[in-house]
This record gives sequence, structure tokens and C-alpha cells, in this order.
Amino acid sequence: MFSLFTVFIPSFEVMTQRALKNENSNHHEKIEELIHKHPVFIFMKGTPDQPMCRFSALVMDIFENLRVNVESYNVLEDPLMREAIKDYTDWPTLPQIFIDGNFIGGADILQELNDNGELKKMLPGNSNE
Amino acid sequence: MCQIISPELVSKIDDRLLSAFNGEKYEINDGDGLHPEVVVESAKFKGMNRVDQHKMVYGALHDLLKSGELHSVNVKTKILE
Repeated sequence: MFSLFTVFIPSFEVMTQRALKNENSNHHEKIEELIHKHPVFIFMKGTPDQPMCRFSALVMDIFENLRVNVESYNVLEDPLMREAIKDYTDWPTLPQIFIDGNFIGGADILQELNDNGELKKMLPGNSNE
Repeated sequence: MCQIISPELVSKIDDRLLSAFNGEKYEINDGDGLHPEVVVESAKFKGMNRVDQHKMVYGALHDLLKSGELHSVNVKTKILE
């Protein structure tokens, strides 16, 4: 009876791995929900009104000038989400911009797309005129 | 909050770019002192979209990004025709 009992308990390591995997996939699910729910979505440091890093501020400036409604997530609020988004896109920096659920890149790519007029064409036509 | 751009860090970035983009043109600018800018012009980028081009540069700097020594870098890429 003792040996039966030990067979059914997974090792601590297995349980930790499962817990971590679960945590990560929970975050990935949340990310998918957010990027598909909102036409323009930004994972950033800080908020649209108070960006906490130069590149996040730059991204907000670009969208403000184009009068585009954006939704965002402040990764400073959740270190696990901060890691999860980098894992999801396999992209090591923030901010990260999504348009229509597609990963566009970071502030530098956004700037380039804006400078050459490509960004305007990608926008889902949700300017608040 | 942001990283320190020391000459040592710049030298490490230089080292990794030299390995990854052997012989091709690249530049490291210390931007505003907080966010370095890395400009790479490479034939390796042919056929790649911007995201993948940047990922290649990030890939070269992977260990620095992973250790947290570098967590913010402006990347500009150009395809060498």
C-alpha cells in the first residue's frame, strides 16, 4: 500500500514545472485576448498618460499625432507579464506594438513605419475625429 | 531604471556584432547616454521583414540582454544590396 501511494505523487520538480508552465500559458492566453480585442495594443512601461521610459513615450507621441485610439498594458505592474510578453513574441525589449493582433515590433520599427507613411496604411481606421 | 552605457558595455556590444555580422557595416552610437543605438547594414537581412531583421541583431546581443546588462537598445537595420 505504501508503494502504491508514492507512485501517484508527482515529484516536487514536476509539480513546479507544471505550475510555471501553467502560469506562462495563462499569461499567453491573456496576451492573446488583449491583442485581439483591441485594434491597436501596446505593452509598455507606464501608462499612455505617464510613460515611464523614453521609447514608450515615443510610441505614445506617434499614435497621439495620428489621433489613434490605443489600449495598453503597463508591464511595470506585473513582472510575470513583463517576462511573458517577451517570451510570447520572442522579442527582448519593450514597448511592443500590436496592430490587429499582429506584432509590429518596437519603437524603432514604429518610427520607421511612421516616417515612410506605411503606418498610416496599417491602421484600422479608428481615429477619433 | 535604465542601464548604464559604459565603455565596457559598448565594447561587449561591438564584440558580439563583429561575430554575428563579420565584416559587414555596423555602428554603435551611445544615443542619449541611456539608450544605445545600433545600426547594422547586412546582406544577411535580404528577404527578411523588419521584425526578423531586428531579431537577428537582438540574437547577437542575446547574452547581454539576458543578463540585464542591456535592456533597452534602439536598432536600425538596412539591407546591403
